[in-house]
Amino acid sequence: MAEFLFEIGFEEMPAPWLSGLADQLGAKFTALAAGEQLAPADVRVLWTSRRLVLVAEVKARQDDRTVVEWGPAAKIAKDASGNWSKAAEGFAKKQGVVLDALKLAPKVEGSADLYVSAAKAITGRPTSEVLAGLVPSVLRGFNFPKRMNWDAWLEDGRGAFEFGRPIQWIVALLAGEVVPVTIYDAVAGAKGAPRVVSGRRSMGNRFYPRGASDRGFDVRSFAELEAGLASRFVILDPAKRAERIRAQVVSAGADVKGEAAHLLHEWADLVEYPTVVVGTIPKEFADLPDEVLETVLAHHQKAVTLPRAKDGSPRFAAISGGDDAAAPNVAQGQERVVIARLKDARFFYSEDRKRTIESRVDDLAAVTFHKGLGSYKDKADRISLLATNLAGHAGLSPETTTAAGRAARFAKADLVTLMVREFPELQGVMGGLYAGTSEPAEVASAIRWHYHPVAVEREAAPAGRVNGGALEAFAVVALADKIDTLAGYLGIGVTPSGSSDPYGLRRAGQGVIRILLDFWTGRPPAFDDVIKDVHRLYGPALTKSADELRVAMRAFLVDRLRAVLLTREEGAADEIEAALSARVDALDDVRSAAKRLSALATVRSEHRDVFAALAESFKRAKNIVGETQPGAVDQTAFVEGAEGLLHAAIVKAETTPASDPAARLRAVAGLRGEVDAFFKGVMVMADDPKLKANRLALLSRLLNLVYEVADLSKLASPTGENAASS
Amino acid sequence: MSLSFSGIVATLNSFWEKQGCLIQLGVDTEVGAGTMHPETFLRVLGPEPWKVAYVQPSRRPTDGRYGDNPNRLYKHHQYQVILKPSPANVQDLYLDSLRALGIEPADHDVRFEEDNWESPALGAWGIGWQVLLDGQEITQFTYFQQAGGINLSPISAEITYGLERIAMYLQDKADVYDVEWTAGVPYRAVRHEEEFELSRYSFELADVDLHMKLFEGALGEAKRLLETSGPRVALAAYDWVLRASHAFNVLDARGGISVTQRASMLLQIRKLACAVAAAHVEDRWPAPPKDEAKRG
Repeated sequence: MAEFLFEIGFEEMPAPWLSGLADQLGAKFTALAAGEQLAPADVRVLWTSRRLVLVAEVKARQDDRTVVEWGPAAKIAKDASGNWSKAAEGFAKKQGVVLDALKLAPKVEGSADLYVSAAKAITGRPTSEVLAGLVPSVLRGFNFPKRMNWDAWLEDGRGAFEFGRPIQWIVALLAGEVVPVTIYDAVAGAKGAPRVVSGRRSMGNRFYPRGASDRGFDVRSFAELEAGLASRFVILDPAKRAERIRAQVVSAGADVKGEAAHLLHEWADLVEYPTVVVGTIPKEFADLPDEVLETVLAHHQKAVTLPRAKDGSPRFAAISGGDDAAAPNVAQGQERVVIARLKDARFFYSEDRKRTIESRVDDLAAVTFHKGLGSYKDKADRISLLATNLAGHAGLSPETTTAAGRAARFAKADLVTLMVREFPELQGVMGGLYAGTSEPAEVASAIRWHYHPVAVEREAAPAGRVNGGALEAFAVVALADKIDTLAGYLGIGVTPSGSSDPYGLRRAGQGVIRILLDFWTGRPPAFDDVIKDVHRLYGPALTKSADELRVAMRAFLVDRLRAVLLTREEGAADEIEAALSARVDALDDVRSAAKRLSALATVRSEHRDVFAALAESFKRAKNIVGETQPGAVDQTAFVEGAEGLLHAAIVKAETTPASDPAARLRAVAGLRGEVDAFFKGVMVMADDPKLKANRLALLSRLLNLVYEVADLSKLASPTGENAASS
Repeated sequence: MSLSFSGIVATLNSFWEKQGCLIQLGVDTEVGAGTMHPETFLRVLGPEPWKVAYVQPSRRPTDGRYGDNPNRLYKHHQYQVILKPSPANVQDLYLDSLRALGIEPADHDVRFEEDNWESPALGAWGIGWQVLLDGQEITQFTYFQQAGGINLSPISAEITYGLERIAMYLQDKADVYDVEWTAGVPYRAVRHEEEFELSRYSFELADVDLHMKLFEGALGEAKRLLETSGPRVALAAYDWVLRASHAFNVLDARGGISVTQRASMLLQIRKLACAVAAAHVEDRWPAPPKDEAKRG
């Protein structure tokens, strides 16, 4: 085996692409090298913003091997006297073998049909030669989120060569020897002069060590490359960069969790030699809300908020590609940028607070919600009524009901504040802060959180951050807003398609489901009534009738329910289908739906075979019963023993409480023997109509046993596992 | 001793002239960015090599702040460099230009961060970076891919320095009006009154009907020129596209256009900019007549 070292040096590649490009490089090289019999092993890919480095063990030479080529059938290959025919001679010549080397053999072992065959010896090529041919395909094989024309040309038959950023150098070494690869200029759509020629020369950091006259250095192996880079201020391994950053941020006092952890991950790919710098913000900004400070720092400067200094001054950490000596300059520059933004923010914050949130609602008339759906003022009016109705239906206290109505009315008012115009990601947050000065805490917190929930996970915000009456008010307001948005868009025929969901309707739908699953208190909303309400509030703006809207909203929301349950891994896809196909309204009680699903997943995992068989039987029963509406079962009309046994078993199973889905499902699992025996020994479609009706009635009763828990016929049942019932 | 504002311009002129750039002047009609200058927009088209550098005063009416904001200006100054074709060491050249200005990259954090420039009004876009100096964006660096809807070949590198930002950095000023324009003369003395008056004009006084007429008239004139037979007039038509674009910017700042109107006006400008680019390419590098190509 021999070491193959491959480095592509380029101008700064976008940091978010790098790990994906590394995966592509590893996979593409491995596949191509394996296809060339190079048996690639220990393939590793490392990177920085300016390079991708692959190192692997490959065979020093392709193995010599034998390839069998097939020619004409025996009767054509031999003449009447049993000698090789002209056709066989032609075949031998074409394959470059002597006549004596031809053989007759079956193409498939044991077959009587013989064909002429020639075993050709292929001499393995030197790996270096194979790699020289393979590297252009590796270069060509990258998928970039966005490619650029950089006037380059590859001699692989395809010509013009686009890449993510211009390539500056290529190191390609097999066991220390250069594998030749050339990228040419493209001039007027044709091959020009060589532009990048592979070699053994890599490049260090752009700026360090200071004063070096030549940033390049020669290497013979991966070990030399890694050591050479380390002494030239390039940490090649992303994990080592991340570790260095983490250690420095922790020593600056940061809590590396949540958004901070996400940012640190991003930092590691921004620079080749990361140094964390700490900046301090003058105390005069200390009274800005934390959310504002964090937004300016994290979203606009990619900085991490640190615990405040002893005197209360806010502090932050930022990433730098400079060395320790540069850190004071970098910190000062970062502070200056942050302070300029915070000055704006402070001005907006004090201007905004000169008016109450309530006084801004009328200004929303000038802000369009969506063309054809009126203004945000119209929306405020609608969701205020919706929220009040939802709270009343849920049975919330009069105080909370009032709070929810007010919060819904003010929820969008921060859209006309200076702060939200400048920092749109603070919508909701600013509304909550501004409302806090004049409204009860429940109102402020409902406004603060009403754009949530955004993520579907059980622990995601606002879980654990809002409690009691505030949680009740939040759930009502957030639901009213989302239902209103969905009804508006679906009501004028706007629906998400494929990956295109410009108005975030899927997210809104998932929010509805999650509010009901995780945050709702009191009686769940009756969807048909809510949709009727919102349709009436929109008036003639909607193109759909109330009935059409109901159908569209239900289908959309059930789909979102399915998506949430699947994402949260509350059950397998077929179990979700079964639970949602039960003969109860899943939307009007999503928590029961989730409970039924969890019971099904549990009981099925205890009796996997039984449920496979039952699924088959229930499918059969459903087909047979079809649209018929059988009457009551007449025990006296039973003829076969299996009928009576099944009936007795069903009656027993019916005694388990339907409110305990797990118990009901276990009882049904216990019926498998009786069900199998019934299908084996009883002809349902008997000639005697009375007999037939009675048997249909019995099957129908079997189906009804679990119809309110799940439709078991929706479960997957690989045919063959249940031979007993077929 | 750090460079004055005019010293920065002089240093960049001398640096890029040594690199073979023609030192030009900004276009003499109102534009929002140096890219709109015909020396960029039209010269990046076609096969001929081209190197130019110039200061472009850039008017962005919506960024006007009556001279009250330390960072935002109705009119700022871009130093624009076009290198066509882009030399392989263009990033190193750029870093050397920072050294010429007295910024030693090793003493700072100089970073090329992904930022792909795009101008919907010009049907132009490119791939590149914003250059951050200690977290402050000081330059937009772009490999042009398309201009006027036309795929470019060869590719030009565009380097756009934000002169005010760089001056504030070099002179350690938190307020742009404190920047020294030339020894003893602050930016405030040179530009503050203009910032106030032009902000007031575009936010409060600009006549909406007049600008709507100017917009339509300018587009109409550009269209008429493009439809005129006879020898070349694409450059004249382009001037009118720029005038339409400025009228649009004033209307935008004045709040005289709705969201849908805005999109449709931008589209009209783009269509004409693309038509100008196509006409210019046809004027300068006419495609051989079809029957002639057959004979050849």
